[in-house]
Amino acid sequence: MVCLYVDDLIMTGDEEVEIEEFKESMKVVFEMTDLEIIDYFLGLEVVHTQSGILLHQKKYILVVLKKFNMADCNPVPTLVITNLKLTEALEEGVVDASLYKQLVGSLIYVCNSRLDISYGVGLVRRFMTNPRAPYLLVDKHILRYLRGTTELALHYPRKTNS
Amino acid sequence: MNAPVSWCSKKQNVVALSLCKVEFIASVEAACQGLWLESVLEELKLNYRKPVQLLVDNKSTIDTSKNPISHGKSKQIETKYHFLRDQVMKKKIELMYCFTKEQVANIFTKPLKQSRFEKLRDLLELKSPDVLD
Repeated sequence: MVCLYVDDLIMTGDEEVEIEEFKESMKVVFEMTDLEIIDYFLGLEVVHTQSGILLHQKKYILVVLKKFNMADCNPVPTLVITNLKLTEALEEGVVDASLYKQLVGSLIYVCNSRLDISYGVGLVRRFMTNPRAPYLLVDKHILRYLRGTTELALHYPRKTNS
Repeated sequence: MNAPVSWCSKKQNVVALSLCKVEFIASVEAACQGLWLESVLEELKLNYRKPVQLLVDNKSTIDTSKNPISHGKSKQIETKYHFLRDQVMKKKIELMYCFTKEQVANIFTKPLKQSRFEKLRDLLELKSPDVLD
């Protein structure tokens, strides 16, 4: 199975010989480097451990925090406050739409490995067309949550015989 | 052995009049995704437990999927959503009951208190690397 994105390529299969053959035949036609076992692909980091595989986007999250000046913010333990009420179509508190969209776009990308933030992101992305200050606060709350939990990684446990 | 493969959190685009119906519509979406994942597994020739199980924390949703009784709260369920009942009858999908407290999908539906949030996050295999080693 091969996955290609612009000039990056990942592949897998169950026959090691076939993988080697494919690599060789590709190297003949294209100029490419073999980075061996995957550890980084489009911002997604892969860690192979004794207990299984870990997927995380720590580097990407840190870049996002820095970009939106939240690298030194105070972390919060939960994603969204429990009694949050967001009213639609607010007149006041207009914020920079492109900033809002960039921020939400980055958060959507973080959802690739961090499913815990999908609810909050789902909430703020509804206001992309009409961003207002209260929604931006929710965004910032999500960033502060990420700040405290950059380490979290999706764990795919290795199959054990027991 | 559990690990998330595909997930989604979105606003339902239909107005539902009862919780049973809300859950029913959500189950239909999950069923579509489940069937798609099943076809991927088929293509990869991997073994899996058939039929695909859906864990729902609402008993009347499960009943509605098995038995098309039309009354009070369920009669407005549109016909297209009865795709789910069709799949259940064909034994492609099985709806199982799970307690609301154990429903991991709730992390995608509402703001939760810190303790619940952290528990569900852990159940979804989002771990801190130092806990694992």
